[in-house]
Amino acid sequence: MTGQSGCGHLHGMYKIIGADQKEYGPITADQVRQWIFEGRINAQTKVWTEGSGVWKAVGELPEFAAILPASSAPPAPGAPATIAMAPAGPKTSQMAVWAMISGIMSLLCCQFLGPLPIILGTIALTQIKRNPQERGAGFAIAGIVLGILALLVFVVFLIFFISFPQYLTNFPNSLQNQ
Amino acid sequence: MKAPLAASPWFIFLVIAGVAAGMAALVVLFLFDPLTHGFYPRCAFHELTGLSCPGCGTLRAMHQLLHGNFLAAWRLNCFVMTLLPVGIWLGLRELIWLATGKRLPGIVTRPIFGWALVAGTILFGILRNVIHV
Repeated sequence: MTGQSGCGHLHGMYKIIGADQKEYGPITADQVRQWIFEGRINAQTKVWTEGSGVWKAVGELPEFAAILPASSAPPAPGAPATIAMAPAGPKTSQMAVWAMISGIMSLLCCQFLGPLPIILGTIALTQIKRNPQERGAGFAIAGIVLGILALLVFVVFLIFFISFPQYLTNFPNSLQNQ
Repeated sequence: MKAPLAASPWFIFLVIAGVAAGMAALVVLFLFDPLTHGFYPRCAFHELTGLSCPGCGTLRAMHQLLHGNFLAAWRLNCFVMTLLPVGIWLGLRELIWLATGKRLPGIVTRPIFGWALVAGTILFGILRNVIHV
C-alpha cells in the first residue's frame, strides 16, 4: 500500500472538503488513509490532489479506491469538526480493546459468551493488518485466547455434567427421580 | 449509504437466524423457570466453588422480568438488570446499522466504559458473596 507513494504523481499533498463544506489540508496520503479507516472520509468525499489540481471524489482515485469500505455512509454533519483536530499518531483499535474486555468477561462469568471475543478479535486483527496506523494486536490476540479458554471451560463442564448429573448442586427434584 | 444487510443473501440469513434464535430463547425462558427446570446450562464457577459469579441469577431474573416481576428480577441479579437497557440499546443499534446503514450514537462503546464494566463486574462478584447484595 505504501509502496504506491513511490510513483511520481503521488508525492503531492491532498486537500479534502468535509460534510460541513469546509476545506481541510493540505495533508499527506497517509493521513487521508487514516481518515478513511476512521470513517471521516468516504468514497463521495471531494479531494484535491496537488498533481492534478482538480477536485475529485475519493472513490475515483486509484490510490485510495482499494482501501475504501464497500458500504460507507457519508460522514455525519458533526463529524468533520473532528477532522481539524485529528491525531496524527497511531491509534489503538477500539475493536481490539473490546475483544479483550469481552474475553475477560466471558472467562469471569459467562463462558458461553466465548465466541464474542473470538469474533471481535479476528475482525480487529484484520483491520489492524490492513491499516498500519492502528495498534492493539496484543489486545485482539489476548481476547481471542481468553475466548477460546472460556469456550474450552464451557465445553468441558457441559460434557462433565451431562455425563455425571448427580454432581449438580440444587438438581431439580423433577429430574432427580428419573 | 448501502445497508450492510444488503451485502449477501447468506448474511441476511445469518442475521435473521440469529434474531430468531434470540426470540426462541426468550420464549423458552418465559415458559420454563430456570429455578425448577434443569435443562438450562449451569454456571461452572458456582458448581465448582458454591459461590455466585457476577452473572449468576441472570436466567432466573430474565424469567421473572418476562413475567413482569421487576423486583424479583432485581433481587436475583441487580448488576445485570441495571446493564440490561444499555445492552438492549447496543443490540438495537447494531440491527439498525445492519438494516439501514445508519450508525446511531453509541456513547458507551468507548473502551473506558469496557474497563469500567470489568471493574464493576469484579466488584459486584465480590460484594454479592460477602454482603449478599
